[in-house]
Amino acid sequence: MKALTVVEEAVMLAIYRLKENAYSVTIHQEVLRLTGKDMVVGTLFNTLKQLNGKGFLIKSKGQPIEATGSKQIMFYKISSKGFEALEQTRTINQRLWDQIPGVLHKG
Amino acid sequence: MTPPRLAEKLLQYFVRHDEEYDLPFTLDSLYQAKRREKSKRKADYWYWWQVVSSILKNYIVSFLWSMTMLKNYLKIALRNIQKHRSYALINISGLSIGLVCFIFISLWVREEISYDQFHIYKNRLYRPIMQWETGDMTTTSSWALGPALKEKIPEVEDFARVWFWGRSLVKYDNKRFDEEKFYLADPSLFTMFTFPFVHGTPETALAENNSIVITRETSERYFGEEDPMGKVLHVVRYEDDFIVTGVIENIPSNSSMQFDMVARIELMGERRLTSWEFTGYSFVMLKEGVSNDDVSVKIEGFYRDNANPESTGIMKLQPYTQMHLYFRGYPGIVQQVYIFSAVAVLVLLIACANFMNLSTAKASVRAKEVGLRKVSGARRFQLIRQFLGEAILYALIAFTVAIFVVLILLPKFNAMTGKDLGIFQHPSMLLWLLGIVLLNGLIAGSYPALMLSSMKPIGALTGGKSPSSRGSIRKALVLFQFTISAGLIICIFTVSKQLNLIQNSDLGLDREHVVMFRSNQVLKDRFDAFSAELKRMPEIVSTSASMVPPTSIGQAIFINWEKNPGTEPVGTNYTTTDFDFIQTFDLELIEGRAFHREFARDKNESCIINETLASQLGLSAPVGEKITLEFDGLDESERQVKVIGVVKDFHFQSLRSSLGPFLIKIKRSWCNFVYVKIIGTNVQNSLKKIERVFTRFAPDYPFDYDFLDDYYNEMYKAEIQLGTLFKIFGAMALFISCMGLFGLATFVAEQRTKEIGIRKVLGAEVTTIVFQLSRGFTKMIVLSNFIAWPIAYFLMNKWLQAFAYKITIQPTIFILAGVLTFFIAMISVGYQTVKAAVANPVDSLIYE
Repeated sequence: MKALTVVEEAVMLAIYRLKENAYSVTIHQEVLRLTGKDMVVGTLFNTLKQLNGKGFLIKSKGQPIEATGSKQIMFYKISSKGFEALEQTRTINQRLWDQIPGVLHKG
Repeated sequence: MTPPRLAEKLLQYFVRHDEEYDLPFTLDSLYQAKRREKSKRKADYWYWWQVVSSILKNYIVSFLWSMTMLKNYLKIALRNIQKHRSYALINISGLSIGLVCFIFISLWVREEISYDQFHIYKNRLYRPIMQWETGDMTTTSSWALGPALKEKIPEVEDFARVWFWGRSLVKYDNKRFDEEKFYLADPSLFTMFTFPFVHGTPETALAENNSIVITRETSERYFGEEDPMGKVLHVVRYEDDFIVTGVIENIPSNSSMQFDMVARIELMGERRLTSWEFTGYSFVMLKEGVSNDDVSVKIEGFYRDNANPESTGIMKLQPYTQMHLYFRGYPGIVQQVYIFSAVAVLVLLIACANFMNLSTAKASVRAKEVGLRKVSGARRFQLIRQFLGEAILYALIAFTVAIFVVLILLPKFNAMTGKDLGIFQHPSMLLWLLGIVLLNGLIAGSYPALMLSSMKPIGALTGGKSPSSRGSIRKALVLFQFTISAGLIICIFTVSKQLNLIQNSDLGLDREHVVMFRSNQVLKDRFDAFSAELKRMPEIVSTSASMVPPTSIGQAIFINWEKNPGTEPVGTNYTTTDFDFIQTFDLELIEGRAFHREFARDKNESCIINETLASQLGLSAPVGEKITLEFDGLDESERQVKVIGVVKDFHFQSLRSSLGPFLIKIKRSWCNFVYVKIIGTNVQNSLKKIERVFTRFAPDYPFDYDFLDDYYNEMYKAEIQLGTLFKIFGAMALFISCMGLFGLATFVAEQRTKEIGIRKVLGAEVTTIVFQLSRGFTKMIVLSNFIAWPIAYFLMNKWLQAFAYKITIQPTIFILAGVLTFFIAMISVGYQTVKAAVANPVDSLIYE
């Protein structure tokens, strides 16, 4: 199973949704919007590093929309490998949960 | 809108900055957004939370990473150990031995220092003693003293009388035990001193006359698991039944008072408890806030005021907590504690120096390895970490080994010292030691770490020679080790010689096979009948008595005589004895005769003096001369004596003092010690017979006997222990130094293999090469000896000052020490040098 961890999945999906505008600040805000989790920024960076190391992201330098002078920051996009990983994660997740109908019983 | 200043600063300090992951920028932007949405307070709080979490996570992650690296380093280090097995073994064992010695001594020292410290009121507890003019001290006190002190001196809150020798057979049911540690005391013993109670309370214990208090293990011995309170023990000696009214916890080994059972002091009898003889022990507790100085003036003359107006003794209060260290025996354990501590530190220093030495030596040899690593991309800090890690690892292994060894040897050590020590009782010591060990590893590892990691790889790979400057530190360390070893050898020889002198010297009196024991009122009254009874037995050669044992006479008196050229009386040592004193100890009479019962006058009017006194008084024909004893303790009638004999000088004091003048007179009532000279065979049998007669005459009193030669040797117990200690630790220091030297020799030999190879090719012989290699070491040994000799001489001289009779420190000792160190060093070095010298030059030159 080459699934993403929950955190990785959230970050990836956030990046996906942000399309061209995915950098640290926006990713953090999007994750918060999507999952309600206020990530620790350090974790976010670590996750990005990890994902990049696995080859799921493409990095590019660019200018943020709020022009803070000539500051160059990293923008992220999902790579093809990344898409594969996302698909796999979704499939596995769906398969797992399809087998369990309705509400969970605690008995 | 700026985020909280402090949090920003923290962020800067703690978190690594990366261009890719711009933490400050991200946090700042998010903060701005937050500020717009929520209140300033909430935003600040969020910011703080982010910063703190980031910092923590940062550390956790890097810690986890280093854990992984650690595993790697460990693997490499272990592999290293296997590769250089002998080196690792030497290094680790050297340090271990040093640690073991240090630990054992520390345990002992700690125990001795902690004696009697567990009492809550320890600062208010004292023991009254008497100090006499001659410098002697009597630590026993009178039974009547305690109550008198409490009554007359308001600063004294309470007293406790204790009798340590209530030994008796005790029965319960079918159980009978001979209780040796049976005390008699006042109930205040438990309110003054702190002995935690398992059953009962300090106030109610010993409340009744037939109460008895026992320890937990005693209770288990008699009653097993049953409740001991209220049970009845029959004490044979006092022919009565006693009810258990209290059980205390077992007494720790660091207590001067060790007992299993305690009953009331009143059992001693009214008559004895009101006497002012010095026959028991008492302790007093001063009121809170009262110091010893406050009462010292009142106490000084107490004995004089209340008991004996003629007495010249001064009474003082000794703090109970200092009793063990300073006032037990001569000169008290304090000296030993200091000496042992010094030795411990020395041994540890040597071991650590050794460790550093060997680590650095080996590191230079690994220069090639370092070069290789650098070339393959190792970063400098990685190398540093590797070497440091290795050194620390070795140190830790040595530490673990040391602990194991200590645990194994602990029972033996406890048996030898008579204590109950354990290393886990006070973990703080272990922690300190661990810290020292780690520090040692750190220092040892830092040298190669810094040195090697800064080298250029090329230089390392082609095997450059290390400049002599690095060698100097190493040489200094080895020098240091051998200096100490040489010094210790000299001390060992000196101390041994002196001890030999002491134990075998002819004192002038025969001290073999002499049983001695304390006298008492009954024996004194019936001494003639007593000795007559004893003499009837074939085993008994002769009996006598005297004031104090003839090997430790400190009493002095002033005398005057007719032929005195001056007017002042002269001081002399003296003792009072009974008849047969001269005969019992086989003292040689030069003139005149010994005391004889047939001469009625001998009882009161005769005295015997020794050679020294005779010459001091200027008497050429002493016999017949009259002497006046200026001593208030004697009646008028007893003060005039006539010399009836002159005895050859004998040592009546320890060999620490020189021979002095001496006078003997007969005064039975003052003879506190009885001597029975027996034939040397079947000693046990003779002892039993003597005991039987003793108990018949004085059944109330314990037959506490000693042998005079043992008693004599006791005086030198401290020196004997010192000698043993020096021998053991001297050997260890020498051993460790040798290992250090061995390692150094290895290093040097390896360094110079090429040089040796070339020399051999050019035709040098093996012997020449060996000599050349050893030259450096020879110089070091000689130097270390030269340094050690004056220091050792100075120290030993000082120690010998305490003895009036001492050996002369002869040059042969120093030469012997030098030869010995040289010899041992040569063996260590020799092996390596010879191995290098006989190596085939082809092998060593092939890597050119």
